[in-house]
Amino acid sequence: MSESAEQSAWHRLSDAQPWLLWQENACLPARSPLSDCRACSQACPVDALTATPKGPQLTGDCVACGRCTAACPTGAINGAGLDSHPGDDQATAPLAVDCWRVPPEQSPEGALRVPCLGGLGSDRLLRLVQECGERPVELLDRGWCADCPAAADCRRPPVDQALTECREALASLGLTGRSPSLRKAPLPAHLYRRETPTPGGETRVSRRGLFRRLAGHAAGAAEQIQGTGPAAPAAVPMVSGRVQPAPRLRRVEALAALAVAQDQSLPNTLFPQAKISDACCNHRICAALCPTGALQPVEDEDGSGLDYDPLFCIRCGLCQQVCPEKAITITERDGHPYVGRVPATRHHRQRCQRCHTTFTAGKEHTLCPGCRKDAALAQDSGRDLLFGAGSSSGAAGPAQDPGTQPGDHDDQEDTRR
Amino acid sequence: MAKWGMVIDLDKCTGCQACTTACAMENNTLPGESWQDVLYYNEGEYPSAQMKWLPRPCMQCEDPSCVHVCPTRATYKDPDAGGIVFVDWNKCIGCKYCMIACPYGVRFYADEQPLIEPDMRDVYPGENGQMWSPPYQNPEQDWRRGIGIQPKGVVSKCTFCYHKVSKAPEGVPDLDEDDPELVEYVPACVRTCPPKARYFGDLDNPESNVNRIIGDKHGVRLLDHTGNRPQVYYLGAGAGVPAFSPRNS
Repeated sequence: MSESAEQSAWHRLSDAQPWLLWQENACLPARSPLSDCRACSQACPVDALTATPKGPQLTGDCVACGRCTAACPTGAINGAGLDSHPGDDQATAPLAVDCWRVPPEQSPEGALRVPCLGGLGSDRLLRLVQECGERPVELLDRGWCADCPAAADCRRPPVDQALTECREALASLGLTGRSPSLRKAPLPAHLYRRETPTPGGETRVSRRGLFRRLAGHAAGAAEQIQGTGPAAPAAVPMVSGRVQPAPRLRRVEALAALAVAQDQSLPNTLFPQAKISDACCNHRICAALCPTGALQPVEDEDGSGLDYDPLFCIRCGLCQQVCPEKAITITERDGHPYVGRVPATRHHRQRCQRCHTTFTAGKEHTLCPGCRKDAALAQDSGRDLLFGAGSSSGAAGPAQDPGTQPGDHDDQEDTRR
Repeated sequence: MAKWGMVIDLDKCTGCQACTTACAMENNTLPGESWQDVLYYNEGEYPSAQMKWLPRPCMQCEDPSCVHVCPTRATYKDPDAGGIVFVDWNKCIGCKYCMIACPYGVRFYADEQPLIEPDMRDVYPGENGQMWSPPYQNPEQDWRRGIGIQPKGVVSKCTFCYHKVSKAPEGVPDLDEDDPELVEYVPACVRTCPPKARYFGDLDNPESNVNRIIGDKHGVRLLDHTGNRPQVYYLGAGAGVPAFSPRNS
């Protein structure tokens, strides 16, 4: 319906910052009140962003660093200029990545200019590394990074954490040497552009182009990582209303491409595991709520149950929170390599003895949940359920004591007669 | 904005179920899925046994239990729409938490076998995502408010005929079916009630007839101890609203 199209469209977070875009459909707290995701507001170095049930609200002065976009687990926030690719494929000189606050004429020839290095995030850094091939990636620290408002109070360049994550991920593939480096290339402090940079004249990608690239990327991510040997994740048909966790897919895609080049398999730590205990009653509320479709309801010849694909799992914890039986836990993977989408549970279907519908439940039940409820209602009279036990009848009949048994009541009637 | 409320006079109600039928016709609900139902029960023992009945629409509570438990915000109370509680069928995942939470049992999820064969869902198979396609369909449709023929896998409920009520002129204290100006905006159950046992009006308007009769005749709310504070009031001393007294066990 048009409603869902509206929810999956990109909106401006605020007219003051037209470059920052938000997608309602992908925002976890906007999807469910159970989600306590505050990643964007926690990442904001100037506390300008507040995560609310209606999505992030831009209240303060944004410094256009884009760190919120790097932190969002589902890619619900995006900024122009951050989804950048190295321009020249033939160049061999190191790819310099520079900040918008540096005057354009000061940047080296062919440099990649982004709003802030901190807005790149480890997934985008990994993709830069992968796309650059043997060409080294150099992030330029102009000497003022640690003093920039985007660095907040930690006195470390905003890109520091992403760089560490990127280094660790590459080390797990034995590619320590390919890690991007932070090169100090100080500039005089008077060149620092104090005002928040605007994307005007900076972005070489038009907005339409950006969207097309975003959409194409998300759609193509699953296919692209196919054929990566033992760790080939299968493409999953997306259920409507589900979101592609773009940052996660970007990371896995880049790492998978690097791993193929190295003839290695992806590290197990990249893929979580769903452990579902016997308490599972096949309510499948977890799958209905799963924002990315990592958990999917299935009906096949083995019965009815759930499929789980760790590729799409962002470990948001919603399934664990919502399960009425507390049957599901998402944990680190133990031993078994990732093999794509796997059956997580299967329940056998039974025929209800009363209404003859098929249902899935534990073995001891012969009635479907609906008929079980009806039976319980008949035993415990419907009136009791609705109005509470021993409801008094106002004008008609004597007021009944709440605890009175039917037998006692008869006695009362007898004595009166 | 008005806060719509309904008053049901149990002294006048004859239990004829015209409201149930009118509601089903207006909202195209499946047989057996009665947003507005009349519950029959017995009180007392022979020789003073009595058959009683209670019409039961959705109470459109001021503090609805169903809204608090919804994991997707599909159920919501809309203060800009007269304080009516709606189900957004685009968001509902059919988990039925709200049905468990509702103390009045006025939420429906049509997955049961029909009591009377044949199954209307087989006779009139659904089109355009609808659960079924009856020959006459009310053209009003708004899935964001749970109006229209419901799709599969969602919970449905009484909307106080929002598609009619919302068209009423701004600021009217009461929607009275005797007023030819307003008759088209009156909810189906109220409009059809033969003994005129139902009143519909603005609870926020001190001039409204519903407020007056709630005050004059000591209107009570069902299961008031739950703190849900329904916007539906019951009248009638002789009829006897079933009162709650807590269980001892």
